[in-house]
Amino acid sequence: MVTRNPSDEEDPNLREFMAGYQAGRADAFDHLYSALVADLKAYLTALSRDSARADDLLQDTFVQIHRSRASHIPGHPVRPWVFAIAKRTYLMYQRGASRRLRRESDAGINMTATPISTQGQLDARHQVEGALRQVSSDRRQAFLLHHLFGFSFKEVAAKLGINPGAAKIRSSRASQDLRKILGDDHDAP
Amino acid sequence: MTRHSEWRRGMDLRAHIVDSLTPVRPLASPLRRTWLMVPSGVLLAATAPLLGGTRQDLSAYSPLITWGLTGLQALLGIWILGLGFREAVPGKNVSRPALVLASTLSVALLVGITLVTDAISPTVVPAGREWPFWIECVIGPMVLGAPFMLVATLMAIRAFPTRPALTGGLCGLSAGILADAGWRLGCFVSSPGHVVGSHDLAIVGLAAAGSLMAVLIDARRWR
Repeated sequence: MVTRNPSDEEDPNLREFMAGYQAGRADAFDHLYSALVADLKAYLTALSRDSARADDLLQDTFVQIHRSRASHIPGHPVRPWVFAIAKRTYLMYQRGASRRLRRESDAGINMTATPISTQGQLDARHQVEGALRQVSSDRRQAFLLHHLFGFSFKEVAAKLGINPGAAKIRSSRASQDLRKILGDDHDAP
Repeated sequence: MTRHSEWRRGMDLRAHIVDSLTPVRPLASPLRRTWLMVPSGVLLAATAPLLGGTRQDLSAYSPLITWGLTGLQALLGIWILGLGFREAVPGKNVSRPALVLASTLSVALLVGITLVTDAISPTVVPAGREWPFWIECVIGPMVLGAPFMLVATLMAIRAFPTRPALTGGLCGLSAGILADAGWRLGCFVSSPGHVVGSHDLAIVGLAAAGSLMAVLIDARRWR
């Protein structure tokens, strides 16, 4: 069976912590939490583009990890499993948020009020955010994790459960997409 | 958010988790779950000829062509099930070459068996009965394979697959191939047009159903 295994480089202790956590050891959970919290926070911040929201999502992710801890297979990589849960937690939040927004919009509540620093900065920020939204989710994640949070492609690959080459290609394609989108915007009358 | 409130939230989370921390039985490895499904797979492959009987001209073929090729097809089905279980594990995704190999082997084996069967004892659908035969040979294997597809997909989806559609598709394909492995011994029509248009369509249908089911179950879990 030909498979790729991007997480061979993950800390072998993680698997031991996970096994201990599944066996009901609180100290194993503490170690696991310490080993994962920084990367998870960075990942969730990259996805949500909001640090405070990422904190909420981080809590939710650990609650989901706790509920689903039996579904991790001993001896298998921990990081891809954890990041798969984090991604679904984010998607679950996003779906909930769009439902709330729809309800509020139906009720006629104005959600457009935002704090403004300078008009130019806000415009640029909106432009970049809008362009990022147009880039596919897979490419955007790889791009943000590498360029915004400074993870190496090996680390990005381990987080996303892909191989480093694919992470590099996704990030590079996201750059191309962004250049094209922002270029098109600038060209637009 | 201040460092104190972050610390506070961390402590609350820890307290919640430690309070409800009990030992759990971890999910079995993909290989172990595949082995667990082997008896059901063999039963699925044997159900159609055991319940509905075998084609009347079966003696025209050597046992290697009948039960031998059915066994080979069943092995392929089990291997694809193993791929499905493995694909479901985050970080252990099945590579593109492995997927291409699985698809190529499936098509090659199904087409090869059809051509060999037709060459030895060519039989066609009786005139005017195309529809009833078609319907029976599409619905039959799908109904037989559906429970296996359902159980396999539910087992696979527990591992939090990153590509649920592909995971379910592989489980459905496995169920289809296993169901057809026995169905081919019961259906007395060996014309390639009938086999591809109905038996193989049922396999594709089960793969699509598995894929859809996995996506729906996964979406429901994260609602």
